Parts: sequence; C-alpha cells; structure tokens
Amino acid sequence: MTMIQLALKSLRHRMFATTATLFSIVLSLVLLLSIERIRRSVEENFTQTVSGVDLIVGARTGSLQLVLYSVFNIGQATNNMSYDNYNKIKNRPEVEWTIPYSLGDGHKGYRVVATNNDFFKYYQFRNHQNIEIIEGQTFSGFFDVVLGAEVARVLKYAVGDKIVLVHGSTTGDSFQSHDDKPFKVVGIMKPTGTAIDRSMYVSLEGMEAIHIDWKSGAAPEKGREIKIDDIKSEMLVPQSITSFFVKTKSKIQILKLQREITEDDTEALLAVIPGVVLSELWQSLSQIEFVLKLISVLVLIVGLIGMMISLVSSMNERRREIAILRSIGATQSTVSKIVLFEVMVLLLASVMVGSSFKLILELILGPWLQKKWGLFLSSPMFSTIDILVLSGTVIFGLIFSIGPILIFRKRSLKDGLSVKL
Amino acid sequence: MNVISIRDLKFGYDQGHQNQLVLNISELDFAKGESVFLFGSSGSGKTTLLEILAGVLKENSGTIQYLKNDFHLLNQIQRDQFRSENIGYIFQQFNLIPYLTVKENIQLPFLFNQKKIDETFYLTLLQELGLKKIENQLAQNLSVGQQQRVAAARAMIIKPQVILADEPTSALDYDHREKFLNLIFDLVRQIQATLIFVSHDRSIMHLFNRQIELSQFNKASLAPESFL
Repeated sequence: MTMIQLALKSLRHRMFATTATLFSIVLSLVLLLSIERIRRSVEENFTQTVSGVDLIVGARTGSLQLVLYSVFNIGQATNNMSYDNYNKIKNRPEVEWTIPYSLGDGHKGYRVVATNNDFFKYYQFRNHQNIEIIEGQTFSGFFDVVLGAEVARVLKYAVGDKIVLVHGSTTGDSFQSHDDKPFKVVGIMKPTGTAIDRSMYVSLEGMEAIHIDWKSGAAPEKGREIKIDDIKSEMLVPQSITSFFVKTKSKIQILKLQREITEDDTEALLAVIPGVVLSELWQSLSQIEFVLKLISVLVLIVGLIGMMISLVSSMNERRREIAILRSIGATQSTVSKIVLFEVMVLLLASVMVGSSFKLILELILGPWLQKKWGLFLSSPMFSTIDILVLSGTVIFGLIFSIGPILIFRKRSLKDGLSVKL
Repeated sequence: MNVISIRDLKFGYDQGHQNQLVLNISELDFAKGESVFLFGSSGSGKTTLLEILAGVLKENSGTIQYLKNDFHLLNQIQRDQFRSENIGYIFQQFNLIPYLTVKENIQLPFLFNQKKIDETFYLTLLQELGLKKIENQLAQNLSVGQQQRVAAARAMIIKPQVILADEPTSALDYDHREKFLNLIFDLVRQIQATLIFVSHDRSIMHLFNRQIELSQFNKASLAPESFL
C-alpha cells in the first residue's frame, strides 16, 4: 500500500461526507459554468444578429436607433431615404452587394420588411450562417410573403395561407388594413434565434403595390382604389426605402465609404458599422453582465467554504486517525500531505464531474433553449473563462484547505497522541 | 546498559511556567530488555511522559539519552524518524485505522520508515497473536480484544528497541488482559525490546520486572490537581 492508496481509502471510507462535499462544489461549478455559457451565447447572439455586413445606411438619425430598427425590430424610422440615392451607392465600384429594407407595415404585432431576393442570398447572422427556407420558396410575385420561424409557429401559418397586412403598425391591429390586397405565404424560414424569426418578408414592389393608391399616408377614398389586376410592374418603382445593408469588396474601403455617404450633399444620410454599434450597446449592458458574474463567483465561493467546513469537521473526526499515523512515525507534514492530496482528489473529481454535468445539461437543454427562447448556445463548449474557473476552483480549494490543515497541525502537536477532546 | 536516561526533564503545556509543570524528573533510567510497570493516579503525567519518550511532545528542558542518541537535541522531524524506526506505540484503545485490513494496519509503519518488512516475522506475529484467520478483515469489524492484538503486532513489526504502551489492557476483561500481557511479554523477549507499560491497574503489576510509581520521581506531581 502506498500513501496515495491510503488517502484514497480514507476518502472512500468517508464516502457520504465526500459525496456531499463533491456535490456542493459540483453544483456551484455547474451554475457558474452554465451562466458563463449563457452569457457568452447571449452576447454572441446579440452582437452577431447580423454578420458579414460592413455598413448599415439610412436617413440621418441616431446610430443606435438605425441599428435598432434595422436589425432588432425595435423602434421606428423617423425618415426614409430616397431610392435614387440607394441605387447610386449600390452601383459604386467598391460595393459588393446591398440589401434594401423598407419598413412600416405589420401583421398581428409582427413587423413586415420589404426587401428583395438579395436578402435571402446575402443576409448572414452568427458566424456567417445564411438564411434558409425550410418550407416553400422565396417570394417571386408582388403579393408573396415569406415568414420568419416564430411568426409561422405562433400564428400557425402554412404555405398557401392568405394574410392581410396592416398599415403603419407593428404592434397590435390597426384600422387601416390592406384588406383589398391580401398576401400569400410562399415560404417559411428556418429559426435563426434573431429578430428575423419575428418578421415577415415581402418584395419592395409588393410594398409599393399595397400603397399605390394611398395618398400622403392615408388610405384611398371609396371608389379610387386601384385593383390588383390594374397594377403594372412599371408603376411599382419604389420612391424610398428605410435603410440598407452594404457589403464592400474590401474591408479597407469601409471607412472611406462611410465618410462619403455621411458627407453626401444631396441627402442627410447616416452610415454605421453594425459590429461597432452592437458592441457599444453590449458594453452599456455590462452592468448586468457584471452582476451575473458576481453572483456566480459568490456561489462558487460558498461552495468552497462548504468544502472547508466539511474539511474542518472531518478533520475533527480524524484526530484519532492522525494520532495513530503520528504514533507510527508519520511526520506532521506527511499527515498534511495526505489530507492535501485528498482535497486535491476531491477538487479534481468535482471539476471533472462538474464539467461533464454541464456538458450533459447543455446537450439536453440546448434544443429547448433554442426553440423556446431563441437562444443558440455558442461554441466553443469551453471558453478560456471556463478553464480559468476550473483551475481557479482547484487552486482556491487548495488554498482554502490550508487553513484547517494548519489549525489541526497545531492542535495535534498540543494533543500529542492521547487526543484531548 | 541503559536504553533511556532522563536527566532534569521539565515539561509544561504552558511553555516554561515553573508552577504549571506537568513533569519535573531529575533522574530516571530504563535498562535494556526490562519490562517496566509505570503507575500513578490520573493526572500524574504518565501519558505525557510516554508522549515525550515517543518524541511527539517536546520537553521544555533537560536531557534524554536514547539508545546512545542525544534525543533532546533532535528536532521534530528527526524525532518522527527516530520513532518510526525504534519505537512501537500501543494506545489504550482505537489503535487501528478502521478502513484498512488487519494486514494493512500491521504493515502501516513501513509507509513512514525506510526499513524493509520481514515477511517471516510478520507471519510469526500473525501466528502467535492468532490473527491468521482475520488477516484480510477490515479493522472496523474486529472485537476490542482482536484490535488490541493487531495493535501489538503493529508495534512489534518494526522490531523496535522500545515499546511504549499506554494502558493497552484497560478495554479488556481480566482473562483477556492476562493472556494479552503474556503474548506481549513473549514477543518483547523475542525482539529484546524494553517495555514501558503505563497503567493504573495494579492487579497486573506483579507480572513486570520493575514497578515505578511516577509520583516518586516526578516532583511536579505535587501540583494541586494531583491531590484530587
């Protein structure tokens, strides 16, 4: 038998206490690691709601506002920009592609986005994933609509259903509805975990078509409506759009293009780099992040203090055992080493069980989080912070155990071998 | 020949306060091979003396010659080392690590010293102490009598020069006590060790070569609590 076997046998002997301690450390570790993974995922989901886009351009407004209504479905655009200017920028040599957005209509609380097929071709989110249609196809006719995953799920729409858009409202019903020109669902998108799931997409021409007979933002009077059959495609050239996404051919051109758009004399425009604005926005939420982290660190400390307490009580029970080891020639430091080794085994086991528990939990709950909360667990499964937490647990656990060990060293010196209780 | 010579030994748990001394022994010797019965009322410092001789407690002052070594000059680690090679210790009770087998308990000392185990002697010990059948049982499943015999085997296995026993028979009934003592005497003779046996049970004192009443040597035992 070796010293290591002795320590392992001693751990096994106190199986119940050992397991309880292990369990409490594992619980706090799992909590800490899960919070960290969720925090990381939320951040990634948030800052990468749109990816691969270099600039978002719209009428001059706050840069945060522009990003919020273009990417997150939050708030309203105060102004539109002219379609001519959009075309001018689109046709610049340094521009690779663009995605125009025209907002303003809604359906049962969901936002309607008018765009073109470039949206399906180029729009990317989270690590350059493309939009996928899981049912049907993209729009081809004026009155075709493609639904985000959540819209289809919540409103129970299927391909082929007819729906009516309402004017100017994205929340709730509006009395000004486009009921004379219903849309047909032609496609449903795969869940993305972004605002796209809560939007529906029509063509720019479709958006023009339902407003063709409107004058200065009001529905046409009776008898002056234009029938669907009378609409011709040349009537449907958009006058304006809300904003558009730009991808440049080379990253170097982004800043120059941004400046030139912002300095355009013909129209007051704003161009922002979405990644920058999103990170800034996330930074401003860092208080919440900090509180989350603080709570989980406190939980871990409580777990380690729990270990310390159970160590103290186990050492008390083990004074007899220690006296026996001392009587046959074990030095104080040998005894301390045995105890320290036991603590180490306990901590390493906790770290391993905790990590595997976390992984299993994420495997089981991952799909649910995705479906119910639209939260995609980001990769990798372990971050550097996780590694820090795990090694920190071992290191701090060992430091925490030094206290009790020193106390008992001192006490056992005084006790001698007779264990004065 | 003296195995242990104690001169002017002073010990108090509160370092050095003259009036709080537990031990104050000017001269006490133990000869090689003798078996000594050390007795005295509780609180007279018997266990404390044993623990100093075991090198677990450190005297405040005085000299101890131990097998020709200046024991009082050794530091704690050296004393631990010395104990692991030269001293067998038997407690009153609870001598064993409960989660180890009889065999593991007996051979435990070799974890802490450089000596090699003498397998034939191990088998002899098992034989003579009647532990053969329970060799692989866990210590926690043994009777008190069995436990004390295992403890004796563990104290003897390193063939120590000195065996210190702190009331090892107090948990045994009279029949077992005498049997146990005879076994001990047998083994002690075989390995030619000196036995220092602390007890307050004078019914067994006649079995020993020499009887020492500690209070006759310990001047500190006149401290008030020893009158209680």
